[in-house]
Amino acid sequence: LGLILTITAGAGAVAGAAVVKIIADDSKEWTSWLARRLLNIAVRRLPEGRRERYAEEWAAHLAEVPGVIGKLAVSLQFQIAAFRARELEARAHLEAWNNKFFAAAVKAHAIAHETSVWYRAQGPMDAEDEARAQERMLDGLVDIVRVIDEAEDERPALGITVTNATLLVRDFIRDVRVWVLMPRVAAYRRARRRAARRGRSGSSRRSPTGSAPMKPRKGPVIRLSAIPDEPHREAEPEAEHDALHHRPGSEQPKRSAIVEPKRKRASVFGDAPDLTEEEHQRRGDAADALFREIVRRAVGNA
Amino acid sequence: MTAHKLRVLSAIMGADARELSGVEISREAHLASGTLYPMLMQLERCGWLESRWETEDPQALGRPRRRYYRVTGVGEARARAAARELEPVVGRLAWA
Repeated sequence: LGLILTITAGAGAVAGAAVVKIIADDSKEWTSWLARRLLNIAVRRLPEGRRERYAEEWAAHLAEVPGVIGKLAVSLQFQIAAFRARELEARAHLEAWNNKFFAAAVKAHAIAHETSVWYRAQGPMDAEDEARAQERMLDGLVDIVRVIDEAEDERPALGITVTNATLLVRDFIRDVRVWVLMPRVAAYRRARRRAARRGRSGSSRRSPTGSAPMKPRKGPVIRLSAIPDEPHREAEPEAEHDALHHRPGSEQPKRSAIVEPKRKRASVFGDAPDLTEEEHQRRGDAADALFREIVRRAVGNA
Repeated sequence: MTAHKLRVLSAIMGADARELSGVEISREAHLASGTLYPMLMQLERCGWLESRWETEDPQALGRPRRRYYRVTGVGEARARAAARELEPVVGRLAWA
């Protein structure tokens, strides 16, 4: 019985060793296969332009690592490398796109700013100047649309595209409104007040910048009061006074005087002072130089 | 300049041939591949490193070609500046 047991144990040991050898060889093959497979997966995860290069480079790296366990560990590390490389690539891509978007935004803001300075310097402008200013604003919008179009092709994160586009367009509209339209309105009001002060308003009130008749005012802004210390006013014929300034039933001749409304409307800039022609020119030149410099920088950064 | 980047640049600049393959850098700088390769990509993009393929034929070598990394002038200047800053802490580096 002892002999049988010994022979059985010996045979079992030999068979076991053979099985272990087969499993070890098999697992070595399987581990090598797994390492190569993991390497291919990592390469596929890389950005498209880098796959060919790193497939060869990492294969060379893997070939120099001793032992199957070592190879397996390195091929697992390549997964992390691929993930980080993809992240870096995406970040760089987004950064480049944001720079371009920022350049367009700067240009749009510069155009809005320049136009506003120009408006403020020149006051009410004629049709030709106004068309020129509008053309500049349009150029800014065209640039923004172009950048958004390019971004669609490059496919950055959609959420960021939409957010940036929304914010930019909102800022642009705000700039147009605040920097351009408000000073335009302020300039118009100044001109209207100047015209009223000079007593040029006839019976039919007209716009100081054009020939279109103005709409009648709503609410009592102008009232009559006696101004005895103005001799030249006395010579003025009564017909020159605005019909709105005349108070029927008044026995004593009254002269018109402009009285500011009690509640002044809030203005972003308040009243800008009247400027000399030289100052207009200087401001216009400065605005032009500023605009060109900002655009140069913006285009350089794109 | 991070410590890992300085280790990578130090490893390459300290080599006799002044250029090393990825696996050699990994051994010299004691960095895992998952950390090393993204950093090499970053340094290459910044212009601190440049790389080239091994010129030998891979058929003759019996293995895939290696990619060798070399530090550029800009990278060397940056590495030396960083080493000078670290000198009071870690002492003078061999290549610095």
